[in-house]
Amino acid sequence: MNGRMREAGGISRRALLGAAAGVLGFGRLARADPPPQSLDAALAAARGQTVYFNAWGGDPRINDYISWAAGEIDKRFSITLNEVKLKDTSEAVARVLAEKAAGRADGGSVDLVWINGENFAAMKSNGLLWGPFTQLLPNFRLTDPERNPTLIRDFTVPTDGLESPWGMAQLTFFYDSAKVTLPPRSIPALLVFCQLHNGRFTYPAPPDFTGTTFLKQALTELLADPAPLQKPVAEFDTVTAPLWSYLDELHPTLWRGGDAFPDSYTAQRQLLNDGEVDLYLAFNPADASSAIAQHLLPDSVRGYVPDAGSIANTHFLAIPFNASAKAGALVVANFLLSPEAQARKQDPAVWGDPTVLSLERLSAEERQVFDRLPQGIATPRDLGRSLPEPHPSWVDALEHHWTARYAR
Amino acid sequence: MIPALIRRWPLLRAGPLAAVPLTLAIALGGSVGLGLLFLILPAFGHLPALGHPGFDLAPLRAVLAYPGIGRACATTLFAGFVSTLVALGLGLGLVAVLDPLGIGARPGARWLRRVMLSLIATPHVAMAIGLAFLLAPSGWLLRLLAIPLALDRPPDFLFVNDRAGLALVLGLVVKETPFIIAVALSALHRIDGAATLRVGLSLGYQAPIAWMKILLPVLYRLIRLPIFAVLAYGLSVVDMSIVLGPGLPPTLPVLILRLIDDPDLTNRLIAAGAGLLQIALVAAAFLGWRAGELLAARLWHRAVIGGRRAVPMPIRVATQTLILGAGTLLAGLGLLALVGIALWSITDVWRFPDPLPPLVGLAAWSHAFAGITTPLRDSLLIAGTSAAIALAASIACLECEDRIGHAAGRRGQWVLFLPLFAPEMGFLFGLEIALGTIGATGTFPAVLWFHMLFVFPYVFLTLSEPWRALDPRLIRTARCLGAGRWRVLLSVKVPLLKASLALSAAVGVAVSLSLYLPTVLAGAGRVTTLATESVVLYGGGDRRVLGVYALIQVALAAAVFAAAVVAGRPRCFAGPA
Repeated sequence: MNGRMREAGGISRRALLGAAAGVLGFGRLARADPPPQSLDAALAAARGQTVYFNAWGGDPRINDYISWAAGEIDKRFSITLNEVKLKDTSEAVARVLAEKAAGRADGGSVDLVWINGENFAAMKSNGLLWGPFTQLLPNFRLTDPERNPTLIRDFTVPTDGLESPWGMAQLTFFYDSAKVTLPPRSIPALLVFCQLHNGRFTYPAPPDFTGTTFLKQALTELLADPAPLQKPVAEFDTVTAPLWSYLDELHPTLWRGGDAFPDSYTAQRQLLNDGEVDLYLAFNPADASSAIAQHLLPDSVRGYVPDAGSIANTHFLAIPFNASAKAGALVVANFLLSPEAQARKQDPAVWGDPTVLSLERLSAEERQVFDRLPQGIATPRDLGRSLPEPHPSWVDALEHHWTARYAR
Repeated sequence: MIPALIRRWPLLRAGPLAAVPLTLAIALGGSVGLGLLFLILPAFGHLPALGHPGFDLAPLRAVLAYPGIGRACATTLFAGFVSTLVALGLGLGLVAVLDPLGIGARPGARWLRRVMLSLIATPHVAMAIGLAFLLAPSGWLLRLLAIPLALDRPPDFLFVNDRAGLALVLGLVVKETPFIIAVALSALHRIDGAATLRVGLSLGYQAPIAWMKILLPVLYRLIRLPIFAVLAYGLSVVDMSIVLGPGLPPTLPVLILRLIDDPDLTNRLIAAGAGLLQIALVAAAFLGWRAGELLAARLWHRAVIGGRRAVPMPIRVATQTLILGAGTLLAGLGLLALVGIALWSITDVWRFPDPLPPLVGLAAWSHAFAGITTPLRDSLLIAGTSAAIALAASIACLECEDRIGHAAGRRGQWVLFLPLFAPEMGFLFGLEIALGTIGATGTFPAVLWFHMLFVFPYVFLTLSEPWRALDPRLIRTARCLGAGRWRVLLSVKVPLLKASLALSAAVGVAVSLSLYLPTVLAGAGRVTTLATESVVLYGGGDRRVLGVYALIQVALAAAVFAAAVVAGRPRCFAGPA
């Protein structure tokens, strides 16, 4: 009752505001504008909007790239792009969920969110996303989901047009070739390596996404048959038993004896730069090349993918159901999917994040831009097999179990 | 009727000005109360906005069963208690050795003030970041020692983020000792220390013994309030704990922040339960501290009665050396941490075991400038606005006090300091839930409000001391010459207090610049400041950019205090001779 009254009050206030804005000729200030039906309509409606782009903000290179995009978007479309730097994407999910629970059906605080996996699954299943919208983006036609199914299946969950692909990722191991001659090329070999070289390896503490992915990689490699991981969690204890006995053995051989873990892959990269560890992992195969270019790593670092392959996925952009600036968000998503923005993103000197575009669908000139990009000294020549992401329900279960087991 | 009312409510005598302290008391006390209410309800399972209309004990049970909760509480208590104890002992020890009467005459006393001011001005996050740079196994200290010790790799020991929380204790001690020194020096002004000490000396007491036996108990009573604030802060600190504290599990306030950010919204109920636990922890610590006070008082009493007038020279020298040594070490670490920040901001490449960066450049500055403008602007806007409002409100409160008499004016003033003692993580989270129900999180006014809760008490505390010490004869003279109350305020009090007003404003700005949790909770990521951005960047793997952010914070705070000194210079009536 109370909630409904509040909502009613809110609507009338908003209506008033809209009317006032209309009278004053500032129609775009009215919040409850109808969602755009095409990009052209969006371009018109978006002028002057401010788009709050919620993105993991832990890597200055990525933030710099987003700053560049913000400048271009302001110049071309008169849209202000504000990056809300998150420590974890789940913060944005929690915020939208809280807004929905509080009955805030529009005027929400998140306009665009960088997302994938369990966060996407959570938003989709709670009805927190606006769309489908990818069919409205002309640049989405430059991708080829048939050849690259992770563009429309995010951790096995169909995207249904509710998120637009932004970049590709494959778990990649990096090592300092000045200190390590033979890096461990499988999860069992990693244990042997750590037993021989105590304290030279660690991984980010779950629920950090790279840390959780390391768990998934280890589990996938340790299981004789990883098929159960493709379905929602069942028989968790039996399936994951090999992982925990592996980690129990691994942890005492880790950096700091497994008593502490870095917060993120960037923190671990810094540990390698400091000489504290010899290996690190990242989801971006060009991460080390890009870091070397920025003098964040010694140029002796090299990357590789384990012999069995590694977990690969796509990361996306999504628009919450109650976004205040849906038109602006659409324009931004389309721009970030443009060959120009994607090529710059793939440049190891900038970020090095692989494109989601299908090069065959580009014009010859556009393709040339990609072809001319340097490969990067530390980027693996061959990414090997890509292993599928487990169903998102495993993420939560693995993280909970890890915390209960090792964080007490 | 009206005279009777005025007798019961002396505040009414101050006229319309009385609205200011009343409003403030309601706003500050009310904020804490509202925050607690909106914390208690979800802690007992009641959060209708998220579909939990009933009441139950499930959140509290979940808190007690949460992995690592016991350890989190233990490290929180340990860090809060030990850091307060060490900061208090060391701070008072340094005052006793270097400036026992608080008049700043000796050269040591001047150094004490300079170093102390520069450490107080440094925002907490920046100091924590600097210390982490310095003290980690691959940090600057070991880089300096690497060649003499023949280390080619950083040793593998866990310091900074150690499980016991010692690095956090160190960070808190570096920040809180100068604060204790500052309040002790200002309190010494209120005691006629010299005369008291002379009586002690004439009775045959050695100066340090007289100081400890006669002055210290009086001094302690005067600085109790700030000590409890330090204790509450140490138990509730989030930003320093994220950088320096343990990770698995973290301290309780950090654990609560993680629960708040979890996408599983039922965790917000658990977070509220943990917030209650946090309040219980602070309450327990306060009681524990009180018990310690009583015990110390008995011991002191016995020592005073014992009548011992001297201690042997070696013990005295050893104690002095210990205090000075610890103080120098601490100040050295703090200042070196700041130098380290500056070094990193101009570093291009700097790897273990190079004692200094072999390649320098300004790339990090141009990098940082791309993203720093918005948080910088918002930091300054919030700090400036909150300090200005707090200063105006403090002047109004103190003027009110002058008009109705000090005794009556101070009644109920404790409400204004409530936010400094209430566990931050508890009532702020409750307030955030309350804000969320009206959709006001992430707005500028919300952040301003949260900042005011902390900025106002500090500004008021800084200003009230000199204000109350103003020579009443000057005011009386002005009144006799026919000046009205407002004219006295504007042409006598304000010019006389120029220096204190400028300093109070600077304190307000510095407090606001250093606030992390209030910005995070009220800003919801949409309003960000340098403090919150620094914590995000801390995990970002580029120390050079982080160095720029930290250095800018330090420089801002330093600039504000320097400006306050310049603005506070007394007016020169005669031209230069």
